[in-house]
Amino acid sequence: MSKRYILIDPVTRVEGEARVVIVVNGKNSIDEIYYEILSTRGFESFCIGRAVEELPRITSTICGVCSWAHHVASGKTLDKLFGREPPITAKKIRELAYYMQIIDSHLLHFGVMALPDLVFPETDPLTRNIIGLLKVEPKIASTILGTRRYIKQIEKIFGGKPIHAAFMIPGGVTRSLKEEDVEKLKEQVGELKKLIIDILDFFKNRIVKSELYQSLLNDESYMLKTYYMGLIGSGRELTFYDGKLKIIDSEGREIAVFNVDDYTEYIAEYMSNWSYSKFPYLRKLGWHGFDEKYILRVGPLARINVVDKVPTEIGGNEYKEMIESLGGKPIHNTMAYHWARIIEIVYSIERMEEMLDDPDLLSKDTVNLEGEPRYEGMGVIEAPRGVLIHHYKSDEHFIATHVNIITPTTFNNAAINTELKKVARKHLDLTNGDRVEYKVLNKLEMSIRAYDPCNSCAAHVIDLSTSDEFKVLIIEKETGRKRLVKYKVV
Amino acid sequence: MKIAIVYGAICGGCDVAIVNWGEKLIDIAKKYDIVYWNAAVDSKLEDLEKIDHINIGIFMGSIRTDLHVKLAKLLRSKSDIIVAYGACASYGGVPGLATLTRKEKLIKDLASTITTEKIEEEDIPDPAKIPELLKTNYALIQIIDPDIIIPGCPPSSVSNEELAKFLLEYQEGTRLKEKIVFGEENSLCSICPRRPEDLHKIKMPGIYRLYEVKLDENKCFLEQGIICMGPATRAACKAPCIKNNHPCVGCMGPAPGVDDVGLKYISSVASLVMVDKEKEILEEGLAKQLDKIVDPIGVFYKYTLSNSLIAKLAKKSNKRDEKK
Repeated sequence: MSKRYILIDPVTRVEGEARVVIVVNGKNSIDEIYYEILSTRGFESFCIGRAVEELPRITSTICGVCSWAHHVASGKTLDKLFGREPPITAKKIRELAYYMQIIDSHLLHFGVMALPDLVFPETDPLTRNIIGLLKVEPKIASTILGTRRYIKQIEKIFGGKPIHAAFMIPGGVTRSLKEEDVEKLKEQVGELKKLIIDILDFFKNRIVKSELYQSLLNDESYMLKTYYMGLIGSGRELTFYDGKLKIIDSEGREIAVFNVDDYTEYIAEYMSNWSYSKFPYLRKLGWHGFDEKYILRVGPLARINVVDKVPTEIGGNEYKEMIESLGGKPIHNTMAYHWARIIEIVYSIERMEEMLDDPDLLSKDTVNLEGEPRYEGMGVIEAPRGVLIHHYKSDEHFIATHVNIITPTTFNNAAINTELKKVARKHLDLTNGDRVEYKVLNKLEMSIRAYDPCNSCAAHVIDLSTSDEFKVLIIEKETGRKRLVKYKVV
Repeated sequence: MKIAIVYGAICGGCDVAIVNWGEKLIDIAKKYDIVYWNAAVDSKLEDLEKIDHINIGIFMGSIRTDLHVKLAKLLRSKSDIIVAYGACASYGGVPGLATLTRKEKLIKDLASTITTEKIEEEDIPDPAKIPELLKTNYALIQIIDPDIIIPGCPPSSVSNEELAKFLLEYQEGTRLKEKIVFGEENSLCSICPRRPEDLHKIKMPGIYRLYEVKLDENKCFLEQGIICMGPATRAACKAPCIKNNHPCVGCMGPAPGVDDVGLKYISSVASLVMVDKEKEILEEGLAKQLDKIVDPIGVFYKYTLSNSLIAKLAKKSNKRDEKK
């Protein structure tokens, strides 16, 4: 029997365009699995030549789900490029606004993308979604949809627009907060917190205690023993807006703590011709393909693994409870990403509540125009999906000459590909010929979804050498014939 | 009735704008089956191919690969009404900034970022080949003819209200008499809360870049010397950026009657800058001031380059080069 192919096209309930191609050999075993990102828009190319101050608005559109993450990371990168230290008020407003991004994205993922799998994974694929959930679990589904109103309003107060905000400028933020803004924020945050507590209760009582979730947590195929990277605050606590990068190994030992300015010493990327996303790896280890021993993961689970504490009341307790019930850190089970996400939502809303009492928020001193330009800047932030790095260089007119952006989904690309092989080898029964049931393929998608990949973010590119001459693989549509065409860059 | 939401090259912001309907999504789901929407619904491409008829097809994103062209045409062939949703579908959007970059150069740039160390061509089987990038980025409207255009990056809450209303009132089988573009038949200045001293005689004191000045929270941006795209942009939002003290960046696309946003803008800026100065100073100073627009493409065409006059001219000249 010859080779055959099983496709999940496209992967659904994830952001952006991706598919899975499984190559099955004549002996009914899996030769290869590809998790492919299907398009790129080329930000790192067309951002070159742009006036750098435009980049927070431009790079925000890398991702519409985590637009604030790119927008804020870009602004932080510009602070450094212009050599400007933002006033304390600007920093606090940024940090405060940014918690909303974490809540927004995590809730969207949890409710719309992940929850159907955790409630009724084996239902008809056409009803396995938030609309179907409204019939089965009307209370939680409408609570989740109900959060959108508050999220939208809070984001509007900070950024004008909830998506692709007008908020960051080099050295600060566009405007100061008025007393009435803070009052409105307190009211909205209070209301949102009530809904979040309901969601936390639902998660703990209905999901964590369910046989289904417990079996997923105990399923070895959804487990990777990897390196982890995340930001830590000055007290080594959970942080999103700013901090130092920390890497641990699969035993939890600290490998490095460093400033983002040094990230190129630690991170390198592999690029191939079958995905529009690269594969970052730890430079010192080198690229070893999809072998979990060498792989690095980022995101909510990585953050829980690298920090020493989650310093709020409810979030802190939930964090301790999670670690205890999963047998200590580091936690390697990918399905625990969902749990970590819920803890971060709770932590973020508690932090917002705390910060809203800070009188510094009301100062008019929201931008610093002074500083010695460096014409280069690196910025890092914990995006909802993990570490996000922006790095720009400019000429003396502040026109971008080099742009490098490494997104969390790109960081997790190798992990997703590695884990898929494990899940498929365990769960796919290939002896029945070409028919593979949807619900079985969904087990593969559940692994992908746990990472909450944003494939729009990940899309970079592929396929060539670094010399002036490079090759592009052309596959002829009609004949399927492949040929390599050489191009010269002018 | 059936709704399908199909993607080109997207960021996902349009998806979130739809999810931000919140509880209204429940009303819409009562009237329509959402038969395809990758972010939220589990139907696959083969399911979409099998569906005979779709009432409302919503397309998000720009056209960047051969797969996007296939999806756009597939959706058009099955749908009574096609909605071009968002700036990318309507005008090419931010990814349109790659319109003037050759595909080979774009790939080369992506492959030469500072951390890209190892590049290898793996031997992959044909069915695992990924969609091919097109020569350039296109707006949906350059590929198929939509019935409704909803500009915005992403569309504003006003437009989303209007779309929800349309969907809830829509009667099966109805076709539109003419193409609808959401938004007002006016430029953003017409609804801007910041009033210049004299709307017909705006004076720019010079041109400043965004990082150079502390922005006044009340004054017209043009009167502060800051480029604001308001005069050339359709009023399809409630000026949220301006209310947040950031100039308009033009995501709602050209104002009614404006064919090419950039050309319109360049001609108007030249007549606004330092118009109050003496003639000699004006002539010498004007060129210097205009030099401060270091990136007219990125500033004036941030969302509309794909479908601009410049893109058309570039295409013609590329064709001439290819013939040679």
